Amino acid sequence: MNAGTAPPGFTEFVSARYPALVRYGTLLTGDLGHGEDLTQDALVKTYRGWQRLGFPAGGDPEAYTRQVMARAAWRAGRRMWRRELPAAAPPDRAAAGNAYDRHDTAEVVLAALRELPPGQRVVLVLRYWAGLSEQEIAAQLGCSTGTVKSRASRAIATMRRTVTLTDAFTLTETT
Amino acid sequence: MTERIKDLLDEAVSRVEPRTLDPAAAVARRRRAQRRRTLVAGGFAVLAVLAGGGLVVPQLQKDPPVPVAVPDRPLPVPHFADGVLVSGGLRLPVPPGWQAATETRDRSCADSKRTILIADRLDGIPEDTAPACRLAAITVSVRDEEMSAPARGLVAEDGLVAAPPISMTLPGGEPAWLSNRISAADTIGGAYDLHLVLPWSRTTVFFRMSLADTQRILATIRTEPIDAGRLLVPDVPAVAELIAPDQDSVRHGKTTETAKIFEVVRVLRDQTKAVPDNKACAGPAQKGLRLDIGTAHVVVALGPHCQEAVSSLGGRVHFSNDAVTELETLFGIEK
Repeated sequence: MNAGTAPPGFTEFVSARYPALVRYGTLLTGDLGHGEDLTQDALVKTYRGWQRLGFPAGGDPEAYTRQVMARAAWRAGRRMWRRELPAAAPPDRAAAGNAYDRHDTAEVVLAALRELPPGQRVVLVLRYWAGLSEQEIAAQLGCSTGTVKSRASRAIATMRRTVTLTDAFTLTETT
Repeated sequence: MTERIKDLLDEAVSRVEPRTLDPAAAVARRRRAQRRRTLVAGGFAVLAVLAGGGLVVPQLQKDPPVPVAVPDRPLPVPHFADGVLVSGGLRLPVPPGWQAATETRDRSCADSKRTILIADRLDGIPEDTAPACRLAAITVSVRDEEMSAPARGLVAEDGLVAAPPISMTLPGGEPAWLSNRISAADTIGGAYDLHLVLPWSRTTVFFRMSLADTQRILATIRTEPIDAGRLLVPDVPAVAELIAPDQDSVRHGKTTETAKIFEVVRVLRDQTKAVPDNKACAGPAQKGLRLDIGTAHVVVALGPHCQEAVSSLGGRVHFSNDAVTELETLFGIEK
C-alpha cells in the first residue's frame, strides 16, 4: 500500500489484523484460498469507507471488515465459493476406521465446513465461533431470526451426520 | 456442545497462515484492479451505446487492447514478515540462523556475515553510506529515483560508456538486472560482490559473500511482480543513448534530436506483445542492449529464442529483430 495515498492508519490496521481476518475468512468459506480472497475484497471496501466512517478513531474497522466478510459469504450461494470446491483435501466419506489415519482435526473440520451450503456455514460460524445471538446474526445478515434458527439447526444436523466429523468429535472428547 | 464446536473451529484455523506476505500491497493492487475493471466496463457500455447495440462488445473482447504497465506503482517499504524480507514484489527468505536487521532500529549487527540489513535510503554502495552493519552479507535498499541496470564503465573511442546490461528473470517472473554474471569468471581475488536491481520493485539487493553462497541465496528468492504490460517510457525525453554489444567492446550512440527521439519512443511503443510473468525468460547468459531514454532505462535481452525488453518504469514486451535494427539505425550504430 502506498503510504502516501492510503488513509492514515489503514496500512497499520491491515498489517496487524490480516492473519486473524484470513482465519475468519477461512472459516466462512471453508478454504484458505477463498478465505484470503474474501478478506482482501472486504479490506478494499474498508479502504473505501475508511475516512467516511471515521476509522480508526471513530469506529472499529475490524468489526466493519468482519461484517462485510460475513455478508459477502452469506451471499456466496451465487458466487465462486459455492461453485469452486477445493479438491486438495476432499472428505473421504467411504473410508472406514479412524479419520486420523489421514486427517488431523483441522482438515476434518474444514472439510466438513466445505460440505455445508454457504448460508448454513456462515450462521454456524457466527453463532458458535463468534458467539453472536440469533438476533445479532439476523441483524448483521439482514434476515429474520427464523432463518437464522433454521440454518443453524440444519448446519448442526449436517455436521452430526458427517462420519469424519463424528470421529473428530469423539477424539476431541477423549484428548 | 457450543464450547466444543468453538474449540473445533478454533483448531481448524489455528495453523492457518495467510499466503500473502504483504497484505497492504495486495489490497492496494486489488483496489486498482477493481477500479480498472469498472472503467473498462463503463467504456464498453458507452461504446456499445454509441455503436447502436451489442455488436461492438464482442468485437472488442475478441481483440482487447494490450495493457500498459501500471504507472502509479508506490514506493515499497521493505520489511520483514514471517522470516521473509518483503520489498515490493521481492520475497527473500532470511536464512536460518541469520539476523534480520533494520537500519532504523538496529545500530549494529552481531555477525555481519550472517545478517540481512534493510538499509535506509542508500546513495551508493552500502559500505559508503549505511551507518549500521556496513559489511552485512546482504543489504537491501529502496530508491525513490530512476532505476538503471548496474554496469561497469568501458573505454570507448569518445569516452567512458556503460557496459551492456545483464538481465535475469527471478522465480515468479520479476525482471532483475545484475552487476556481473553469476559465475566464477566474475570472482575477483576470491571475493564476489553482486548487485541485483529489481527495477519494478525499485529495490536493490547487495550480496557480499562467496559465489556459492550467492547462488544458494538467489535460489531461495521468489517474486510477486505487478502485472507487466507494454513498455512505459517518457513522452518527450530530452536525450537518448543506445549501447549495443559488439565483439569485444560496445557500439553506442547518443542523440538529443527531437525528431529522432520521437522515433525511438514510437519504436518502443510499437512493441505490443506483452510478456506475462510466467512466460518471461531473460537470463544472464544473453547479451544485452541498453537504451537510456530520459528517466526510463530499457534493457533488451538479445537472443533467437528469448528476446524481450524491460523498462525501468514498468512493462515487458517481446522485442523483434526489426525493432533492434531500427533502433541501431536511428542511433547510427548499425553493423
